Amino acid sequence: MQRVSLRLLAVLAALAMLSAACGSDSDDTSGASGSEADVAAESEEAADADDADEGESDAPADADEGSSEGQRLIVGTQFLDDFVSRSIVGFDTPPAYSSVLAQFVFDGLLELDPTQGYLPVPDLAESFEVSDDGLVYTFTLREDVTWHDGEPFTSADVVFTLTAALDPANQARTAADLAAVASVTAPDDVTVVVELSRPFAPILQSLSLPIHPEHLLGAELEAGTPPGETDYAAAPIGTGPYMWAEYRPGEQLLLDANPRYYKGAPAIPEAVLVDVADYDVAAARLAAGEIDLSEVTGAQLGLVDGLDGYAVNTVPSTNVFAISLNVADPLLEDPRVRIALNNLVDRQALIDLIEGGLGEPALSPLINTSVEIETGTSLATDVEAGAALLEDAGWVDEDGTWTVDGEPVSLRLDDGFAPQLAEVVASSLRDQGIDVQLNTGDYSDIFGQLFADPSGFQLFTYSFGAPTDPDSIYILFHSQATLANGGFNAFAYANDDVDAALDRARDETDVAARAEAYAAFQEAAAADPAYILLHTAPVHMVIADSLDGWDPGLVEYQFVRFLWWNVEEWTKS
Amino acid sequence: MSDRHRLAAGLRPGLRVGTVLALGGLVFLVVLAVVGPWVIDADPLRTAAGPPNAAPGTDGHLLGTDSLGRDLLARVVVGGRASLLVGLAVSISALAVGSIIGLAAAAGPPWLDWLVIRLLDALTTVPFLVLVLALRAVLAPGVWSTVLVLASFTWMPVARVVRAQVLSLRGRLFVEAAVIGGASRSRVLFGHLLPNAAPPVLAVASAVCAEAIIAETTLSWLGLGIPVETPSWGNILVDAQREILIGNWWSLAAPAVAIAITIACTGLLASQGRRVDVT
Amino acid sequence: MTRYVLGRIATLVPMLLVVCALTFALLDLAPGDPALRIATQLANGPPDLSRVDELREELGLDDPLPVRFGRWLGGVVQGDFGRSAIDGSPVTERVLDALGPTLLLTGSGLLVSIVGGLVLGATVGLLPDRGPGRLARRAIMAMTGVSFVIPAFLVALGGLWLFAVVLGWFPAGGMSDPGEPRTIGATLEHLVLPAVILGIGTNLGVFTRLIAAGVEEQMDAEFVRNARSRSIGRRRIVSAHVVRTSIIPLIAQVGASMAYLVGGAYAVEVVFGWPGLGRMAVEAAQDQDVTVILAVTVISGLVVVAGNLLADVLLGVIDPRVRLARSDS
Repeated sequence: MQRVSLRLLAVLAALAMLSAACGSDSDDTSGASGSEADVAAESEEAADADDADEGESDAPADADEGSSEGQRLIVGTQFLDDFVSRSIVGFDTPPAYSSVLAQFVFDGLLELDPTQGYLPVPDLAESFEVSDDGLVYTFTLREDVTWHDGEPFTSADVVFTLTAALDPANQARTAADLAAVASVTAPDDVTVVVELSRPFAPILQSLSLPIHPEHLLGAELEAGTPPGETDYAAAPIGTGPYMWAEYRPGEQLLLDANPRYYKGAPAIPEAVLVDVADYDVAAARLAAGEIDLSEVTGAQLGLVDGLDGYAVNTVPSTNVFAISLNVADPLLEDPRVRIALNNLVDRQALIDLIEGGLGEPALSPLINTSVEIETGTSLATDVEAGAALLEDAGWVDEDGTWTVDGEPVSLRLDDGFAPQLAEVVASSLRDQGIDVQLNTGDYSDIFGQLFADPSGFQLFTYSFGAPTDPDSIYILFHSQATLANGGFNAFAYANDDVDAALDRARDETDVAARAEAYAAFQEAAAADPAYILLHTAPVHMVIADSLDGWDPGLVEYQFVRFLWWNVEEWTKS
Repeated sequence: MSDRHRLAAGLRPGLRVGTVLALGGLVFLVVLAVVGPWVIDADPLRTAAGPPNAAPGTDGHLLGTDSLGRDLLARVVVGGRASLLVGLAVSISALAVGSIIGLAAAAGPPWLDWLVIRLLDALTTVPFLVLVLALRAVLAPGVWSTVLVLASFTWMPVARVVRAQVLSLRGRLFVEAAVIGGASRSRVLFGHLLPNAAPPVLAVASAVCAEAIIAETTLSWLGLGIPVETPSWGNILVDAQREILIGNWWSLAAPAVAIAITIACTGLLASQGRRVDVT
Repeated sequence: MTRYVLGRIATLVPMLLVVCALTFALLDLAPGDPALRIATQLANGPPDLSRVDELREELGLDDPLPVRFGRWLGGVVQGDFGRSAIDGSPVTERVLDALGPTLLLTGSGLLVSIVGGLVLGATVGLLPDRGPGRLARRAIMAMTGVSFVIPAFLVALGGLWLFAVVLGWFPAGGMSDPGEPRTIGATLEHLVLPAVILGIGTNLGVFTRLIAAGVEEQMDAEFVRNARSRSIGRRRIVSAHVVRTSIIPLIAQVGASMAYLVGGAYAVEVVFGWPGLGRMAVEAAQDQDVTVILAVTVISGLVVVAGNLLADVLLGVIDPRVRLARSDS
C-alpha cells in the first residue's frame, strides 16, 4: 500500500513536470543562441536582415537591466494582435485602427502633421503639385529612402500599394477613401501621378496610407494570396523609424531602430509594443514600472494619479459620443421630439460619472476639427425647453410620465460598446419621465443586427469624430450615404439642407467657404437632429518622466493616437 | 468495525445548531431577495442617485453608492434575485441529475456505465466557454440562459464523484451483508449505497453552488453572463474591482459579503450532512 | 490493466468526433447571417453588402451542414485548422503558439491546487475537532471558504496589484520582460504569480474540502476500529490506505474539472497578459470567429481528454475495484 501511494505521487509529479517541460520547450525558441531555432520553428522572420537584427538586439539585452533602461521604449497598447493582423489586411490609413504600427514601421506619401492642424505634409513624397482642375496630383518622391531590408524605395512601390489597396480582391478598408482615384502611374522612379475621377479635397489625407514594398508583397498578391495570408504579413518591411524584430503573439512586438531612416536614426534603439488587455491592466503595469507609456480612461485616473516617475498628459479629442436615433420610428419622426431628447439628457452626469469630470458637452457633431466652426446652443441641456417641445409635439405629461395617445412612452436603447454610458443615459431619461429599456450586447451582435434590419432599432449608442477633415461626417449625415451605398447613415436620415451644405463643403477648396458650408450644415442638423449628442472626452496618456521629445496637447481621435508621429525624435534618460 | 457501524446507522438528520443557522441564513437571503425590492425604496438602476462612490451612510444610502452613483443596498438586494436564482437552480439540478446518472452508472448494467463514461468524457471536454457562446447564441442572454449554461456543465463532477464512491463502496462488506440478508436492490441502493456515498457528494454539491455563483460573476465579467441592465452580484463586482484599488471598498464588500454568506450557509449545510453517520 | 487503458483510448477518437460535431452544430444554430457578421468584422463598420454574397459563396456557407463539417474535418485530420474568419491568419499556427503557455500555466496551477489541497486537506482531516488543533482547523476551512467566494479574475487583479505592483516581488505580466529574450528562468519567474493565483482561485478550496472530508471519514472509522486496542496517536493511524481512499474523489474531481480549469485560466491569462488558449478562445467567442473557436475546442478537448484518461488510469491503479468492476474489453 505504501508503494501505491508513492507511485501516485510520482505520477502526479511527472505529469506536472511533463506539462511544464512541454511548455517551456516550445517557448525557448529565441534568445542569443536561438536564432536558428527561430527560423526553423516559426515563420516570423522573413528576411536575413531580421536574423542579424535579432542577434544585435540580444547583445545589449544581455547586459545589466539598469544600463539598458535608456535603450528601450516600452509602450502599452490594446488590440496588439489586431494591429498586427489587420495592418496589412486593411491597407489602413493612419487615421484608423492600425495607427500605432503605421507610425512606427511605415511611412506614407504624406503624413498628417498634428502640430499644424493635421495638414497633410510631405513624407515619402518630398513635394507635390495639384492641377488646376483638382484632378491630377503629381508627387515627387524622396531619393534617400531605403526599405528596412536595404532595397531602395521607388515609385513602383507606391503604384503597387495604391493599386493593391484599390483592388477589390484585397478588400482593403481604405478602398472607400480612395474611391475617387481613377489611375496611378509612375513615369519614372521618383514620380507618381494620381488621377482622380472627380475633385476630392480629402484625397490628400487618404494618400497618407502606409506604403508596402513591391519586391516583397507584389509576387504574393499577384499569385492571388489574400493579404492577411501572405508570408510578408508575418514580418512586414516598411520604411519607417522602427523595424520589425520579433513578434510574440498575444504578448509583445519587438522593434529595432532603423539606422537608415531618412529623417535620421531614432535616438532610442529599441521599441516594444506590449499587449495589455484593458485599461485596468495597463494601469497596473504602469504602476509596476514595467511600461513607459499607455493610454488610460477617466475611470483609471484615480489609479495613476500621482504615480511616481509618471505624468498624465490629458489632451482634447475629436470623438463625440452620441445616441443614434431612428428617424423613421413613429415616436421619433417629429424633429421637435429629437431636439427635446437632446435637451433632456443630463450631459454633466455623463461627464462626471464616466469621464471623471473631464470632458465637454457636445452640441455639434464637429468638435476640434481642422475647420473652425461656431457651435449653436439649441441642443444644450435645458429641461424646461425640452418639456415644452414635447408638449408641442403632442406628448402629454401624466404625473411625471410622458404619454402619447394615452400610452406611456417607452423607448429601447441598444448598446454594443459602452454599457456604462448607456446606463447613465437611460437613467437620465427615466428621470425626465421617459421609460427607457436598455439592451446591451456584443458589438458584432448589435451592429450585425443593425446592418441587417435597422427598422427594429430606436436608439443606440454610437461614437464618431471628424478626424482632421470634417468631411468624415458626410457618411453619417448625407442621404446618399445609406448602408447599401457603404455609408453609416443607418436610418436613411435625409435632410435637403444638410445634403446641400455637405456637398458644397466637399466641392469647395477655399477654407473660408468650407467653414461657411459646415456652419450651415450644423444649423440644419441642429434643427433636425439625427443624434442625441452627448459629450466629448479628453484622452489621457500616462507617460514616464524619462521620456522626452513628445508633443503635449495634440488633439486625438477615436482609437488613433498621433502621439507617436515623431517617435524618431524621442529620447529616454 | 466501521462496516458494522454503517449497517446500524441510517440517515437520521439531527437538528443541530449549525443546520438551523445555515438554513435560516439561506431563507433570510431568499426572502430578502424576493420581498426586499418592494420594501426598499431606492431604484437599483438610477444613476447619480447619490454622489458616486459615496461611503456607507451618506445621504441615506445605507451601503453607499457605486461608481455611477447607484444605491448599493438596492443593487445588492435586487441583484440577489438573479444570483441566488442562478446558484440554487444550478446546484439543485446538478445534484439531481448528477446523482441519478452517477448512481445509474455505478449500480446499473455495465453497458450503461460504459455509455455514461463516454457521455461524461464527451461533455467534459467541451470547454465551457464554447458551450456558453454556443448556447448564448441560441438563447437570448439573461438569467435563465445563464442557469441553463451553468447547469449543463456542473452536473458532471457530481456524477463522477457519485459513481466513483458507489463503485468503491460496492465491494464493501456491509453491502454484501445487506444483499445476503435479502435486502432488495433498491433498498441496497437507496438505503445503503447512496447515503454512504453522500458525504463527499454533498461537499461537491456545495462546491457546485458556490461555483455557479462565482461562474456567474466571471461570465458577467466576460460579457457572456447576465447583461448589465439586470443587476446581479456579478455585475456589481465587475464594476467594483477597480474601485477597491483606490480604497472604495464598499462596492466590493456589499456583494462579496452577500456571496460569502450564501456560500457559508450552503457549505455549512453540506458539512452537517456529512457528520450524520457517525454518532 | 492494459486492456483498460487501451479500451479507454480506443473510445477517444469517436468521442472527440462527437464533441466536434456537437460544437459545429451548436455554433451553426446561432441566429444571424455568418457572412454578414464576418463582413461587419472585416469592415469595422457597415459592411459592403455586395461583398456579403460573395463571401457566402467563397466560404461555402450555403452548403448543407454535413458537407461543411466534412470539409472542416478533412482539414483537421491533415493538421490544418483553416484560416481565421476574421482576418485570414493561419489558425493552426496561432493555436499551437498559444497551447504551450496554456499547458504550462494550467499544469502549474493544477499542481498548486493538488499539493495545496493534499497538505491542507490532510491537516484539516487529521486535526481534532476539539483541543489545540481546533483553531488551525477552523482557519484553514475558513480560508478555503474565502477562496471559494472570490472569483478568479478578482483574485488575479488583486494578486497582481499586491504582489507585483505594491510589493514588486513578481513581474506584472507577460511571459517575458518587454524586449528581453525568452529564457526558462524568465518564464518561470513570470509563471509563479499567475500559477499560484490560478491554483488558489480555482480548485484549492474544492480539493482541500474533498481531501478533508475523505480523510476525516476514514480517520473516524479507523480510529473507532483501533480505539479498543490501545490509545495510539492519531498520526500513527494514518496509513497509506487512509490517504489513498481519500484521494479517489480528488482524482475524479481533477479529471472532471479540467475543462473548468481552462476557463478559469482565462481570467488569469487576461490579467497577466499570458499568451494562452483561454484568452484566444474568448476573443474568438466575442468576435464569433468560428474557425478559431472550433480549433480551440479540438485542442483543449484533446488536453482535457488526456487529463481525464490519466485520472481514470490513476483511479484504476489506486483502487483496483474500479478497474475490475468496469473492465472495458
